[in-house]
Amino acid sequence: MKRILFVDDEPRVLEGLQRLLRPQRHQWEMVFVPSGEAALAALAERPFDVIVSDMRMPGMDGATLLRTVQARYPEMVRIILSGYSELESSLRTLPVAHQFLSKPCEPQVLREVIERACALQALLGDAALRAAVAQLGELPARPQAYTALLRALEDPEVAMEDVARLVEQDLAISAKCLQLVNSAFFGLPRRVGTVQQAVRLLGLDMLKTLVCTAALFQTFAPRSGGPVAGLEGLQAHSLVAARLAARLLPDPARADEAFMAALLHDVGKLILATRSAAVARREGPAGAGAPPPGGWLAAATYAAEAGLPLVEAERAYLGVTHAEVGAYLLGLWGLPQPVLEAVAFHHRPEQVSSRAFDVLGAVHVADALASQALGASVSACGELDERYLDALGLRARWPEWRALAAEVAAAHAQEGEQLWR
Amino acid sequence: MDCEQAAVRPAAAAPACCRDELATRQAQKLEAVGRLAAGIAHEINTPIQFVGDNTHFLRDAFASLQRLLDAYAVLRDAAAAGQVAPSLLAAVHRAEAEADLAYLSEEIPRALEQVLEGVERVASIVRALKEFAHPARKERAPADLNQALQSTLTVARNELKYVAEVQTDFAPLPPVLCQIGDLNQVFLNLLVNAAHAIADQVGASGARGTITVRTRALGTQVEVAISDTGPGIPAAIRDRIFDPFFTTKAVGRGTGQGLALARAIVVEQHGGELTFESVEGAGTTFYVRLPVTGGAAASAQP
Repeated sequence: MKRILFVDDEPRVLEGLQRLLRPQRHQWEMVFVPSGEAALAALAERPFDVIVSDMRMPGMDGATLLRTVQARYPEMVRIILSGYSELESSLRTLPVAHQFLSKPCEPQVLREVIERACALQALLGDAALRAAVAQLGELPARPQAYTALLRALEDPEVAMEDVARLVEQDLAISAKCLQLVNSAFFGLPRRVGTVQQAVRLLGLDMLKTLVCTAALFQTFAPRSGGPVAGLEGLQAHSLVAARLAARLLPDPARADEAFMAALLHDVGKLILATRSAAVARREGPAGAGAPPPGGWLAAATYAAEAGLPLVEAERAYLGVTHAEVGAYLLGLWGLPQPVLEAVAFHHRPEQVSSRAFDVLGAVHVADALASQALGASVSACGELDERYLDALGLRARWPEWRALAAEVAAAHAQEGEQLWR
Repeated sequence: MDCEQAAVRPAAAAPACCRDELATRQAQKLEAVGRLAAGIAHEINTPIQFVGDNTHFLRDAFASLQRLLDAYAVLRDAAAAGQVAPSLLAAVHRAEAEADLAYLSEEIPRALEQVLEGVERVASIVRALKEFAHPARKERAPADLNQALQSTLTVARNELKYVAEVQTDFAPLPPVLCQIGDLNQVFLNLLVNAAHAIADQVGASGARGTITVRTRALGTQVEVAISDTGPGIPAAIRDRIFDPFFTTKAVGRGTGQGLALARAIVVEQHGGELTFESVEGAGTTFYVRLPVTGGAAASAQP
């Protein structure tokens, strides 16, 4: 049974939640505590899977509590349930919380968010995945520039200029940021030359996305400068998918998340391609026409030749898939839950109990569209789950989306934008 | 907000200095409202959250009870006909178990109480807001300062509760002829200052100080005393704290005009006194003394 810890300094809120969620008592073991200190004591006693905390509390506040939880129990999913709705925009992508809910929160929304948190936690907390990831060696820590930026943004009165200055201190990351800002996605009327201008034009939220993305690609960019073997088409695929995913969702906040998730959905391939030699099977799967042993590149080549889905080959060769590994890393970096979920489940969206077309759906569809529009290759492997599309009643929109994908892909080919060179 | 000094002058137009002060005061009021708005929203969102949760629970609970009542009705009809089959009794027991009857009979009354409590909390905040944002009238009116202080405390609750426990000690007061909207502004300023002082003292330690609000009648005057357990005002700056634009607060936390305007409202507008006592390391008390008749400035009004 999943264990969920609720923290709120208002006893009435805890009692209300306790009554509201009583029907879930057979799926979830729920504990309710009135302060951050009490929460840490409960956590020290027995592990939990999900924490749902108020933000402003006397004594230890929610941010401090969740930061401690992140350090001590990184595999837990952290959710904020706060009455300060105006904090939502500044907190949505803060690393302390995976998800931000405003009070008053609809019961169905609360239940669904917790259910999805449990699904994600089940995936990312899975012992086999963690063992496989551990063998990949130490994963890159959140880059200094990104961490410093997030810290600065926790201060609601921070000046934009100061934030921009922080980012500018890391030359490589500012350069990547500017590359992204000047890509056609933003459609800015003139070329943006400084991070200061970028912040003024795009706002702090988008800056967070950009710095995170830039930091990731920076971290995994091959030292040699050339593309990683097997990943030649990955940049184009990620950029086109990102621009598509953002166009599929009308709500601008969700569109930003979809942009980020689609840009990063295949980051696990970068990790596996550069690290998987250590976990490679020494012997290929047995049987007639069995594939040769090897790391990720061998798996990808085999999948392409045998016409297998890449994730199946990855699992056979390496015991993990790029989707899981990518989500795992982004989870450690503290990205928001909708992004993690989209990255983790982009090949099998039907595994998430969602009735709406949201960030995950947009990334799944954009991945498939980008693969079709650019021509499927080893690195671009998005296959559309047609049952999922039917379940959401979206099949009718497919032709329109394909036209959009062709348009975006053509624009991309013209610009030739790149995340690394 | 009006300006008495100008009102007694024969010239129709207010002098520039007075217009400036009016604008400043208006800006100050707006700033206070803006700062409070987030806290007030939180104070309202919290009860709405648990009122909603409890109401959803009650709706589900009623559905469970309805199913149980249906089972009882079948049992009653069978009993009336004189033939209660054992399977029927078993079905009733099952319905009781499914309804979680013991839990419901314990929790439904509590949930109802808490819904009412939540509704009352929201209502009292809305009432307090209405009283606090008393429309600025030209003429003075008799007001109950204890009630005004209570409203201001409700409005400011979210600014205070994380740093301090608030104690009140209100003595019966005669009505005071005043512009209560402006005085509320003064009380709010003093309360927020007290909270900031305590926040400076306790830092991020999680400890809380105490803010005490006392009132008493002093013959033809009434006195409001607002005390904090903050660090006190350093002796070196005590004679400057009422100067316009003097502030020790960080940018964004204060403009340095709160106390200057408070003094203008209390002294010039109401003919009262605004004084303080401070002990370094122990805290500060501000005293507002007001003549119940509204003071000299009022009598000068046409």
